[in-house]
Amino acid sequence: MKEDFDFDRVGKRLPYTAPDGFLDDMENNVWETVKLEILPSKPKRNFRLWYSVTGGLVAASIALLVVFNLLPHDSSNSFEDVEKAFANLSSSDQDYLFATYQYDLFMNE
Amino acid sequence: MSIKDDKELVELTAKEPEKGFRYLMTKYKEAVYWHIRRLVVTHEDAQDATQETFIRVFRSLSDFKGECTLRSWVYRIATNEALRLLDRYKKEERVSLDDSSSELSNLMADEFVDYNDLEAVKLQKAILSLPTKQQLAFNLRYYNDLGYDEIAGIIGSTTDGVKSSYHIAKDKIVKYMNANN
Repeated sequence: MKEDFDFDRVGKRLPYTAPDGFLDDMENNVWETVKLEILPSKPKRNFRLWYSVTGGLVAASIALLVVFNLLPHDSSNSFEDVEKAFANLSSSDQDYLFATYQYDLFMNE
Repeated sequence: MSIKDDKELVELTAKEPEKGFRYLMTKYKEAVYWHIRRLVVTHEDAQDATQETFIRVFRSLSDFKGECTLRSWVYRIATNEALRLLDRYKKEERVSLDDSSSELSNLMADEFVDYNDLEAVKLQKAILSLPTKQQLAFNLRYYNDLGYDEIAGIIGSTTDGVKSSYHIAKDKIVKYMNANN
């Protein structure tokens, strides 16, 4: 009678082989694929947007300064110039200007 | 580095993805590759399915709830990947998943098979001639030393079902080996 096959004769031996180091290569391939999905990507600086926003803010600031006359100016010098110019006028012209602007709200505030 | 349990490994991967990834790969890549290789036979297919397995594992690791062990979960994904690949080939050939002719012809054609070890080749032929469930039950028990309940979780069966599949598989293999002696 023929003897039954004994598993111990083969054990866990496999007839299969595989190229050296392929598991390490595969591990790196998998990492390259999944790392982009797992790791939070660093936000890229959008220079175009950055320049647009900065430029816009600078332009808006200048516009505000101009509109509300917030730019520093030497008021004493300009007043002296006006005084000098007024002194050079003839008395009739001076009287006319007085009569015209004495009730001007903005000049007399 | 020592990781106490699955939970710690999942937490490590969330905190330090590459460290967790390398640890998990070191622990499972070889076992998973050989599990898949025994099912799909050729090195190229086993490599593709193993790679896909680990991509899936890492994509869904944050969803792992610990309802089974991480090992069972990884083996389940690996088994599904291998069966998916075989299913695709069977559909192309229009034959049933339990028709082992294509794996047997792969065994004869693959360049990464040592034909000098005739008995080992014959044992693989015997295993490949089994229906898929019996193959899985036998391989996971015989080669991976997994418990019947764990195998049941991996292949979606009952513990008794796995026990029965394993013993039937073993008897069939003995018969095959005796007949082809």
